[in-house]
Amino acid sequence: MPYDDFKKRAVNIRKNILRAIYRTKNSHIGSCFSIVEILVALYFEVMNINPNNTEAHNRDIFILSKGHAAVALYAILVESGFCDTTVIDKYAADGTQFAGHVIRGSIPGIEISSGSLGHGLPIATGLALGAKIDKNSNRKIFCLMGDGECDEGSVWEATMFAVQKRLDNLTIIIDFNNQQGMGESREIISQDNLADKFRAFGCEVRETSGHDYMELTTALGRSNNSSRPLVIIAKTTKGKGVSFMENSVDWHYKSPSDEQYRQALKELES
Amino acid sequence: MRNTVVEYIIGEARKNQDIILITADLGYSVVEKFKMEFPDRFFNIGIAEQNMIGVAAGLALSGKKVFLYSIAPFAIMRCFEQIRVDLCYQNLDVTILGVGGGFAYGTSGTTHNAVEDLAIMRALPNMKVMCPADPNEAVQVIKKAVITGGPSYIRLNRGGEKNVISNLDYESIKLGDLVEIYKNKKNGGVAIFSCGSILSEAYRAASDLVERGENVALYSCPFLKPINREKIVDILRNRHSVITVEEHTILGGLGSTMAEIIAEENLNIKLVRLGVEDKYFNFIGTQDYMRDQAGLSAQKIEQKIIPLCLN
Ligand SMILES: Cc1ncc(C[n+]2csc(CCOP(=O)(O)OP(=O)(O)O)c2C)c(N)n1
Repeated sequence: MPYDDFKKRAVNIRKNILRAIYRTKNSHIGSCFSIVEILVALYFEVMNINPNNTEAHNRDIFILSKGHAAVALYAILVESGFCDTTVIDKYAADGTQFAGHVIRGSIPGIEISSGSLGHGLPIATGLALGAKIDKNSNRKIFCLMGDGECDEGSVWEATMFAVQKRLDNLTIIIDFNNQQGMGESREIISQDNLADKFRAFGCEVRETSGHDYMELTTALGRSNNSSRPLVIIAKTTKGKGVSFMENSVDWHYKSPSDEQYRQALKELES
Repeated sequence: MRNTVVEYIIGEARKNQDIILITADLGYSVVEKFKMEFPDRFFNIGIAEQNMIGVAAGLALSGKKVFLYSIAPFAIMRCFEQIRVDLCYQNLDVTILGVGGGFAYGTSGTTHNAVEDLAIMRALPNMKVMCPADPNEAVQVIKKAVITGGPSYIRLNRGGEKNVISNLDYESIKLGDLVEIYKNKKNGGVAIFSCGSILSEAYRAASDLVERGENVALYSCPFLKPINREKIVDILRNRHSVITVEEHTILGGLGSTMAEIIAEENLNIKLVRLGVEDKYFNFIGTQDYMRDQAGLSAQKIEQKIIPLCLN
């Protein structure tokens, strides 16, 4: 994909996220903006998926473990042709399935229900194990988690099992924005040595920018010949793309006012 | 409601050096005041609820009086077995505050809704289970939890709710007591029992019926366990129907408690349980919308009571 297309898609996605959250005041906008480039790289460069055959037996599987970034997943599914913009227009509406945390089956391409942190990786590990049991499957599993989410013990239980079973078809992506629910991760439970931790647990670890196209696609796309689960630590900025949302815990919860919406839109379009 | 509770804990913490507040990375714009005043007695344990319970147990064993704060499903379901073994089995003085009771976080979806919490907590020996309706009740139940000690679970709604009734005498309420809002005017009639913030809906339904001259009573049950059984039996003896209202599965909460009492006390009375059906909703919506879908709006509650009044 040409670099310009990558940029354009990222802008489209951020605009859809902004629109949905501005309209409903149902936030986690910072958490969504943090993972936009990761999603574009996965959906347009890395994963074997087909919006016209969403149940394909050999498809790769994406697990959004940080389910509170639901709107980002809705927006990438719109951008990559899995669904139309109804999910953005009806986000959080009464009687829909377009929830603040994703619901399996609500739209094609949403593979699990999540929203309680620390559930995605064990399920992804099970899927990776399932693919190994089906000997002729070359399915890959991609699991996206937050750095705060790595506080959960279940993350490490799954990692140990995945290493033990040599699940090299599993890629764990950490959206490392050094922010979590109540502030900077460094001030709560520091994950500064997260790469070392995953290495010590026996994973293959790559560190990359989470927003730079070249770096990201290289880190995600290069094949993993290690016979170990691959961990991508993607350095990100929470709220990326809108100056006043960047690196601020407030925008985990806040939704833009009219004025802030206009300002954000201007920044995204410039 | 949650802010009122934190204010109360701050007041107690000024008098009692042993009070500690722990959050599992939640409570934005709620817990900061405590943290500011008592930085040494506030801990954000991270997104690690199982560890939160274990650490609280260790602190309680060190003589501390511990309060825990999180969204209800994370506060009690993620770490259920830690609560069972570390807190209840060893009867330690830890109070769990679970916010987002019922459908308070309705648009967030099932992961964030708590409609099974009261049943789960009620099954644990030593655990006190409380579900206040409004800020007034919340302060009362937390007072009683502080005095009594031991493990407690307090289900809170979220922020910003008003007191349903402001002029009641709450000070005399003891652990397990009911709050009397309307009394039956004569023998017979219907008694409504409500648990938690759904009282605002039950109250509207009951007020309308009282205004229309119907013989209905309304009681709020901020304590689910222990619950004042004698008082309930007393009320039920002279009624022909009882109806329970809870923003909770009909399995194991207030309705079940009532059924147990009626059966064990040999009461000859018709029971109707209003609550959430035993299924997952495959849609989302605001708390009002979800309540209505579950048949728990004031209007739908009233429609269920009316046929009972005709008896
Ligand atoms: C088990 C559980 N505990 C708490 C929460 C509430 N919560 C939602 S997002 C969040 C912070 C997540 O931080 P991180 O994983 O770093 O993701 P970020 O939003 O910073 O990208 C918390 C505590 C939850 N959803 N699940």
